[in-house]
Amino acid sequence: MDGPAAVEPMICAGLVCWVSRVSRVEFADRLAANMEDLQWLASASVRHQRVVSEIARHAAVLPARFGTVFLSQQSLEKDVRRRKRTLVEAFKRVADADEWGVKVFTTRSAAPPVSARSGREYLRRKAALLQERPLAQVDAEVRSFASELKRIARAGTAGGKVSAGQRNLEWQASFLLPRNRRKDLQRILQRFAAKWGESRRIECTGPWPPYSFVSAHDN
Amino acid sequence: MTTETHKVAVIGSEPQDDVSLLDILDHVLNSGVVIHGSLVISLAGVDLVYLGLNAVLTSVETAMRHLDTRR
Repeated sequence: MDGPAAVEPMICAGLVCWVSRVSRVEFADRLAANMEDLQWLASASVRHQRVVSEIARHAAVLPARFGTVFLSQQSLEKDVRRRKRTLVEAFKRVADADEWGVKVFTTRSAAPPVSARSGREYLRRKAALLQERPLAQVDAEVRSFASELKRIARAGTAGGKVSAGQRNLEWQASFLLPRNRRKDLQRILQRFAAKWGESRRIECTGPWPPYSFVSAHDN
Repeated sequence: MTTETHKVAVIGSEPQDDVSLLDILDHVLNSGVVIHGSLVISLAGVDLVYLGLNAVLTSVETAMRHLDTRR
């Protein structure tokens, strides 16, 4: 589902599938190359997010992974029929819940700028900075923040890779939060923000459609 | 709703909120991408996307604004 093409509903095996008729060349044959074109990737992702969010405002939705293309309506129907049971289970798992992204930034000391003698060395060092740190290496206060969030969430997963290299990012994760827990989320955020004062900054984004929680094995 | 109490920012709770492109990419691409019918969890380029992202952020955001005003 994506592209500037119109988005239309199709009933398959009792479920509503929202699809758009996209260019086969752009979204199938050349998708791998397009994914490396940041300009294309950014525009297509924003369109994808707008469509999924708009649908999610009106109904429970399981977002398909970016780049999911069916070559015909028949192949879509066949796939939905085959996975019907899994899809129904997934709907139960994400029912009345949203995805939220939480990031903690340190404001104490800026990470030293990456310097290198060659472009290749620069990329190697920068890539090393992007490696996700195991939770055990994260400061104990951030660990306790993480475990409080985990307690109110239905599921949690490591945060996105794309922003992993953001300056001063100390920790990030995505949570599947039941809607009746939003006040608890607010309380935890406020309490830790007050506790950390100027030393750390918390960023919370949401509600997102449950992008990271569609498959059981993702959690 | 953007709450700036202490040092918390909660963004995106209202439809008119401006969520950053970086956050969108984080959530939309986090569970992988389907290429040629196969699920690609870690794209060769994705880890490095951030490296080049700043360079295109401005131009993309300008492009998206054009898209909005055309509606």
